[in-house]
Amino acid sequence: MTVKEIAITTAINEDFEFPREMGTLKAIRMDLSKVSYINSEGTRRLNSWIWEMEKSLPALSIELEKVPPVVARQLSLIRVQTANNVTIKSIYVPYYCTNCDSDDETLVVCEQIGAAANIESNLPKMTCAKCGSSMEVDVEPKAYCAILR
Amino acid sequence: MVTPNTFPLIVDLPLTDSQKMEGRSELIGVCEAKDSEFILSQAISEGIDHIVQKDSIAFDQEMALATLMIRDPQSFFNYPLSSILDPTRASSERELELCKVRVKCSSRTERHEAVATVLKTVEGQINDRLLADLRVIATELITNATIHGTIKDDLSDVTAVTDLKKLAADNGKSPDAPMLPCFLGLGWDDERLIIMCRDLYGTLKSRELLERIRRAIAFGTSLSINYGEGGAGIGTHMVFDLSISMYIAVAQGQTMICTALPMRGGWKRRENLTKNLHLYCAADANVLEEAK
Repeated sequence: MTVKEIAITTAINEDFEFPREMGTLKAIRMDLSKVSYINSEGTRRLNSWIWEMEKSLPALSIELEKVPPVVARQLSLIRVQTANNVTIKSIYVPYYCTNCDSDDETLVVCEQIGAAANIESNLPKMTCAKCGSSMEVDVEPKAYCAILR
Repeated sequence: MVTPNTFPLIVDLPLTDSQKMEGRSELIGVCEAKDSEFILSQAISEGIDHIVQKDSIAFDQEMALATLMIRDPQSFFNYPLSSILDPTRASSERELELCKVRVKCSSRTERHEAVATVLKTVEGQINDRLLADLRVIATELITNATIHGTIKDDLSDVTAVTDLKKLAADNGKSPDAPMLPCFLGLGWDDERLIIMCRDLYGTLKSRELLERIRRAIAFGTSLSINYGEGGAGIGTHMVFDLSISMYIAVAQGQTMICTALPMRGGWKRRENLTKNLHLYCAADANVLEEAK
């Protein structure tokens, strides 16, 4: 199986072009950990690219890994879980410290989270690096993880 | 029509006939624990220009702002930050105190710099997550405003953020064509961070904009895009989604959009906060002056 690995290290915006020449690829794996920002035009392009790939290359699998919260929220907006060709392998879960107003995130491999019903209890616990308090997951886990299907 | 069941309380501020002729609505819908779809549909279908929720942040100020926008909308255009943060003292002096930064943007290419300047002002004073959301909102607002400027002859669909270069080309304009300046500003108090964006065109069709957001929420942004609505308000959906209050005012020659974010707390808290909405649309809005 031919897999192409890409790490996106820029913002996803009007200047960003998604790959279109796939040749005989079976899968494309995108590391999104360095994406600091995605704007509306970037979201539109991402959405169009996913649906275009599903239509023109139905056998191509798009694997997204290390998805940061800023991208996860946009994937949720475009309801990426309804696309048959996309799999999210790992995702950063945001945490928030109500004691000192600081935030953090941790990478979760999606296979380890388990079924939707257990998502909340399966997410790791996190301690605030600044004040040592225990942090809370800073999203509604079920809604946030809905993109995982 | 608005019924007692729809809103537990309707505040009806009496207006003179001439004020009504100017297009002013006198109704403030007061409710509690209502979701985004509710407030959007009330604004779109029932013509309620001000929807204020009792359980929202700064309820008293939101009510006072609604009254101000109904009675004296020009104050909102003149002093947007003090109108929102301190409505009973909205004035040039108070505006100067509350406005931490105001950036003029004279071309599309200056918008990234304008956003960077705004972000720098607040960096280190708010958490990173709020800073990231501020970046999204400021970018989308200034992008919309620069589209107004670049595509100034097209009144049909100036709110959708799509490919700027394509939009400009389709309208026979260079992306860097001369435009009237727009302005990005920021102010805050202990509770709320306000982002302000003003352009000098006054072409925004606020209810159409809200309808796009409503459709995106109801059917998903993806469907809106796939069914041929172009940018389809993705940007404004993002802005609305992130904000706890949205303030939209349009008159001839000016559009003012402001949004509020809570100064403290994470995403989860914000997702659970109820939203407020304020609209003002003058009778002469959406009319471009020939001189421009």
